[in-house]
Amino acid sequence: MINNIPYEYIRSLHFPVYSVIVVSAILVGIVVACTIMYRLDLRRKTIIYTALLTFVCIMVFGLSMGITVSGDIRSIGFTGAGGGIGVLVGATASLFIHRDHEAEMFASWIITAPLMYGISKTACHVSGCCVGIKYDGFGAISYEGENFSRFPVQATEAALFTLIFLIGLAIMLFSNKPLMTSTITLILSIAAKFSMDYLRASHYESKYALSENQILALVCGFIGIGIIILIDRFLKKQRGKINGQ
Amino acid sequence: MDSNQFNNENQNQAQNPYVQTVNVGGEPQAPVPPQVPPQQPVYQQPMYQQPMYYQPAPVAEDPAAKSRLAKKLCVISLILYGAAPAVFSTIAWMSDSGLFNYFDDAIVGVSSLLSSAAYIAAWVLMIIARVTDKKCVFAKVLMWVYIGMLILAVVTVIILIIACVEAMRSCGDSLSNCDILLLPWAIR
Repeated sequence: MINNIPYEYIRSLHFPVYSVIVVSAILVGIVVACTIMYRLDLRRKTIIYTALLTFVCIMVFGLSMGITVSGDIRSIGFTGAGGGIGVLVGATASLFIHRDHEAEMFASWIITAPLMYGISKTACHVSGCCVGIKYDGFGAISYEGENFSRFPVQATEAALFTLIFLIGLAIMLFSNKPLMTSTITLILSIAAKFSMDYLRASHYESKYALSENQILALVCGFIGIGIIILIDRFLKKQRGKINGQ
Repeated sequence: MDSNQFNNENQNQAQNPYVQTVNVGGEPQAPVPPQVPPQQPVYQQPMYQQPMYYQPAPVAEDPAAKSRLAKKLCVISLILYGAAPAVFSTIAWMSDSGLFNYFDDAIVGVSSLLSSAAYIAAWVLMIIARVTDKKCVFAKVLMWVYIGMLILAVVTVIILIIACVEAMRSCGDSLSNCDILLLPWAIR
């Protein structure tokens, strides 16, 4: 046992749990999203096919986004931004396929995305990737092979994104305005991701003012808000058609 | 107000053929048949008196056309599933090994994006086929094949990552100490 170190000490694990935790985080998120959709009275067929398509999209975009951005096959690995784009693509595609409670279905996926991200961040915290800046204060952690302490950025992100999920769920349940809820959740998640990147060590290694993570987060945010505006217009047009007849 | 209600109730009882009226101490009476007011058939009424019917737009409900569409979608989906990722990943591999010499990073990035888009499009088309024609056997088989391949891929990725981490951990400080022979592209 290590007693002379004042901060929490994280050993490198013997069994690598990283990928297992990431996949189970995605599965937990899908179960939560399906529960929300079930409570919102979607058809069972819609729920099953949407869950399937979104899972495929998350896995494919999460794994290929690293290669796409860096242009290097060796940089294959699961990226959070790719997973986010996967959620957006999967939810949007199944929205236009099934045409069943469109806004509610989209919102339930956007709300659940921060939960998936938050749970998968615990894997980063345990395995010691994407470490935080040097810091010596409350809650500081140290990884094996380093004799200084770091800010627990991954644990903070996990807590923050779980909180964003709870906020989104509360707004969804009490306001009953799905598109507004998804916009708020999206903006909160992008703001959290953007600001937490300043606490990561990798932020200060980048050549530019904004790091790669921040640029990807902004791109994700703009794509998401563009999709929400498109869905809003589409639904208004549908409503106009029904009322006009 | 109250008396009116009372009268109405009485009338209803008298007109309703299903309510048996029992006369205490008298002979049982046959139920009175309902009196239907004489009404002209709709086509004999003048135009302005005819009720307006909302006729929904005719929807093409041709099961044969639907099943043909579903089969077409399945074929396109299968092509996208098999051929497109193979072509694009071959291009990416060739470009990564320095065949094209120029824009290698961009070619790798774009082809990986295209191959993942083709894979997703294959899934989307399969689901559209399933939704269009529920009984299409081709779509059903495709769906289970895709799900099986997906489960295999997820398990493979997990095992591969675990194996890579174990291999890298066995190296320690220098690559000469490795227990496992690393893939050639891992050492550059």
